[in-house]
Amino acid sequence: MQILLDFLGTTGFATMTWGNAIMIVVGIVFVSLAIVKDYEPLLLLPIGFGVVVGNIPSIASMALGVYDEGSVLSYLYFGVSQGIFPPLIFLGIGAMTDFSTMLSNPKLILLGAAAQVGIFLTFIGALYLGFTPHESGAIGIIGGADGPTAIFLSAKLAPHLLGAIAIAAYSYMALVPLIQPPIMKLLTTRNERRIRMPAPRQVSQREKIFFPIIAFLIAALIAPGSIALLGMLFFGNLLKESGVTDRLANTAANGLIDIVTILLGFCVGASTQAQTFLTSQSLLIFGLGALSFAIATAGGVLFAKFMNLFLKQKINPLIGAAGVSAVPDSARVVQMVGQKEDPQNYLLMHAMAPNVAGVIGSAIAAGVLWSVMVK
Amino acid sequence: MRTFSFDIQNIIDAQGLNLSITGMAIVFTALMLISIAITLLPKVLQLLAGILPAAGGHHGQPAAAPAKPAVSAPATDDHAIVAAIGYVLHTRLHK
Repeated sequence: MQILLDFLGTTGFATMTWGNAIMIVVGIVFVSLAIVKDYEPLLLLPIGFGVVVGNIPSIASMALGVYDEGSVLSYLYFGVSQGIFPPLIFLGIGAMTDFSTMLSNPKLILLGAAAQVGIFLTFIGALYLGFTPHESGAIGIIGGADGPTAIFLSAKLAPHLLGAIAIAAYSYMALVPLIQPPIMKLLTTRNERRIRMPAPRQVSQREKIFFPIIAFLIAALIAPGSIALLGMLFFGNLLKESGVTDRLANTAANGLIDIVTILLGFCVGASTQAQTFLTSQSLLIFGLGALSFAIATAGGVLFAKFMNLFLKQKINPLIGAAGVSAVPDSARVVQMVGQKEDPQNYLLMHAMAPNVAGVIGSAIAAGVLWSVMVK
Repeated sequence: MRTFSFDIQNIIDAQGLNLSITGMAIVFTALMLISIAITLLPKVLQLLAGILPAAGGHHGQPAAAPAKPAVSAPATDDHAIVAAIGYVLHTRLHK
């Protein structure tokens, strides 16, 4: 009888806290959003289930959680805490990305730079709220709307905030269709939203092969902190475009990225144990993340309007919103908002240019913040 | 429980404004240089056309087919028909 009572004392029911229960509900909501609403299912489902797993309480002497030394989950989490998974995700993204639209209209790259204003303004906001410079840098990167970049930088600068930052980054990426349209409409006139853009020019295979090498050299020499992310991104793209490594490109773009996405999502979810996650600073991080995302969207749209002051062939300012690097969701949102005004206006291809430029821009911004902070 | 002090002095102490302006400038510079490099790339490749091997040709294999345009027009009537059917279905379903 005593053995049974001892055992009952070790069950999750006996050691469950209100915080754990709340987080389990949050995890189930994530899983439901992924399955029912189709919101970023490839990310929200592993993260959501990870949240549930990470919040099953266990007795102290059992090494089970991601923070328990020697546990299975801690070994899996090693890829997150040491920033190993994000570059591998970037390798897959590079192998999947077609940079043609960006190569055909290089001026649109600047929209990807303008949207990074969200990162740096949020950095200032986080400092104002009392976060340390390292924490502020990690929080600001949420505005890059790039989950792997956010995880990479927070693993380097503020590992104790990794769970909150990762959940905020991926949640806002999933909420792109809800967050961006009101800001886009607020900052543009109806006539601006109806601007049509000419079809992109043809891009030769040689341009596509040379691009990843040249772009990597420029970005890495300016911001060496971005080598891990951009090196893998452009390496993946070179595998794709070279035409001689199809097998490697296929593996990077399919099997590898899928495996890493599963591990990354699950481990990030499992790291959100109530005791470390349900804090006032997590709430502030969520607030700052939303602000960051909104500023980034506004920055892209306003810069597109600014560019139009000097351009003969006007660009549709809506595509500036795609400068946040939530690929391809923000480009899809641009297409959707544009077609509400003019159903015959196809902005998706044009929006992909600032969208992929935003990926490069946020990785460079992460490299800059990392370089400056570790000094 | 950690306490937060909302204070402009935090920004000044951490040189937040300088860092943000410098950071944005670096991001813009890097992407602007990439933009300029992309703009010049076709011209440079044209100059080097005589030196470079045929695109896609390697190990003695014939060159690959020319690159597809960034936006490819429907190649066959089939695509146009599918697009038309899709449009009609879309408009009917959203009436």
